[in-house]
Amino acid sequence: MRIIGVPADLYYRERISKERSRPVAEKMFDTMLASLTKPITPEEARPKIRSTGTENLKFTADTIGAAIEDCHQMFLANQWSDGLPFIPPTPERVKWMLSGTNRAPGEELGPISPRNGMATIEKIAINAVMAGASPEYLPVIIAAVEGLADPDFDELHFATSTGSFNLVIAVSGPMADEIGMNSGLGLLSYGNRANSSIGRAVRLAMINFGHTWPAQNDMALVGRPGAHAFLTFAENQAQSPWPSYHEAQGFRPDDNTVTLTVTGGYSTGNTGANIYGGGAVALVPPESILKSIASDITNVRGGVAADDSTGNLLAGNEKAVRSNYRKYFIVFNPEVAQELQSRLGYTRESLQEYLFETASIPYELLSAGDIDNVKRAIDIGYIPTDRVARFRAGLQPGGTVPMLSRPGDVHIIVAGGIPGYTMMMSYFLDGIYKPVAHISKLISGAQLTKTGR
Amino acid sequence: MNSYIRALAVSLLMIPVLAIIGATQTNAVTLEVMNPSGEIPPPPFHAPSSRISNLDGKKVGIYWIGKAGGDNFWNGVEELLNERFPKVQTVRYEGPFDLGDARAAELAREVDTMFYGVGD
Repeated sequence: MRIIGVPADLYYRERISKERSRPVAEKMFDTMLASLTKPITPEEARPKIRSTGTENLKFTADTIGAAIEDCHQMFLANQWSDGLPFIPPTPERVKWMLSGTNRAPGEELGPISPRNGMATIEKIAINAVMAGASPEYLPVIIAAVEGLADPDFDELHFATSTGSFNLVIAVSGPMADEIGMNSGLGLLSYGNRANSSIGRAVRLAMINFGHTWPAQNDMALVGRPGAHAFLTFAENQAQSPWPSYHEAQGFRPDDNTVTLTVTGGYSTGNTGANIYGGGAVALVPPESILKSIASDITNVRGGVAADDSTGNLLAGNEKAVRSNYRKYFIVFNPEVAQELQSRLGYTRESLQEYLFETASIPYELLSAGDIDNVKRAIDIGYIPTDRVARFRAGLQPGGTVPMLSRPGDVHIIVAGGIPGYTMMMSYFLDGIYKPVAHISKLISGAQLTKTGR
Repeated sequence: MNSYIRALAVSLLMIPVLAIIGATQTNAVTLEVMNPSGEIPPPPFHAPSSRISNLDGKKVGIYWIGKAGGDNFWNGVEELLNERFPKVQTVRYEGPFDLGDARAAELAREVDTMFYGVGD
């Protein structure tokens, strides 16, 4: 295949109408014609196979400071760093970092999109050194990169889309406290080495394994909040009234997990991040917070609004349905969670059921097209079998149709301090280019902590 | 004797130069670091299909992944094809990013050559 690139500034500026796009087509036309009719050259028929080098590098200068500066300049020129100063990954520092895991340095975890560079334990350790991590964090970073490398997890869309989507990295389990992660006040803030460097190591891994770069293949038009370290925090299990998040995902109580979930970068309505509650001013009644959350989910109309505007891997009915439904990652602050449990009697599961039922639209308010979309979701088997009767009942006069496909589309975790805000982060229920946009990975192989081994 | 004196003078002159070189060699530091980038395995290679020599009387497919705005560009391309090559028949397609082997084989049977368009 011959590939022709239409310059982005030209294409995007003029794509708004056929009249304005025509000169762009004229500008490209001769090149496009030639690509169809010009005979294949010997070089095209037998191209040289290139592989990227990964050998060590040496920087010689009069002082160590000058050598470090040369290293920074070269790494940035090669698009190997994130623009901030980093710890030079010397063989000695990398060996020190590898002391945090018993996994073999050469173990391959898989390629990372978009350019499919291979993630290995040693390469992760190199990037962890650069990020300023400590060896006891390494198993957490490895688990996060395992999530990125999972063939089912769609890191391609959020890493490259113009939509400026973001990544949440949430650690659940006793290891979070052992390594000093912040799960309380200012959980997304600076100043905590574990949160900051774990997130930054994952960011560097995406740069160096996925080979992303802003405005080249990371097309986030405005970038992301937390661009250098994503949204990295730990569950506040000590103040949570419910079993841990990883238990809710089917792991054992003494397990440790890293959950990756994609979210909209900003509060845009369809996907994004919202906060609820009064913060330090007052405890907004949890009932009011739940109503606001249910209202926001309802207003997205994820269960009925067919959205065929996104180009993706899917076609026809399946594409239209999968483009509709959303997932929600709700981070309840402990004070609200405690009220929900102790005064209102909610478990995590009953809360999910409440939101599933409340975030619904009365049948009488649905258009014929809306109803067709719901029926289509049922017909192609997208609605879980045990919920089909509920949806069919909703498609009757007097009924209501849920905007979630199932209660489990809402993920609930407790984090933050007292006082605090509740946050809700949303994205498409499924991945766009790969099956899922939410994944939890077991932390294993730890050498320097009591848990995560 | 003269040659001895000349050799001695040259040697004395070289001392400061050697001292400077020695000092530089002594003070220079070398920082060795490991490469952080993940190796990109060579992709599987597929030789491009042979080209048609001209478009007269040919069916030209235009495939677009459906992102809003792209249709305007491809409408322009289709107009140009029809204007410059009146005997060309254009066939428009829209579908997913990855059309898959089966669909690709179908398209190959339906047209003589095609443009595949992808963009955001």
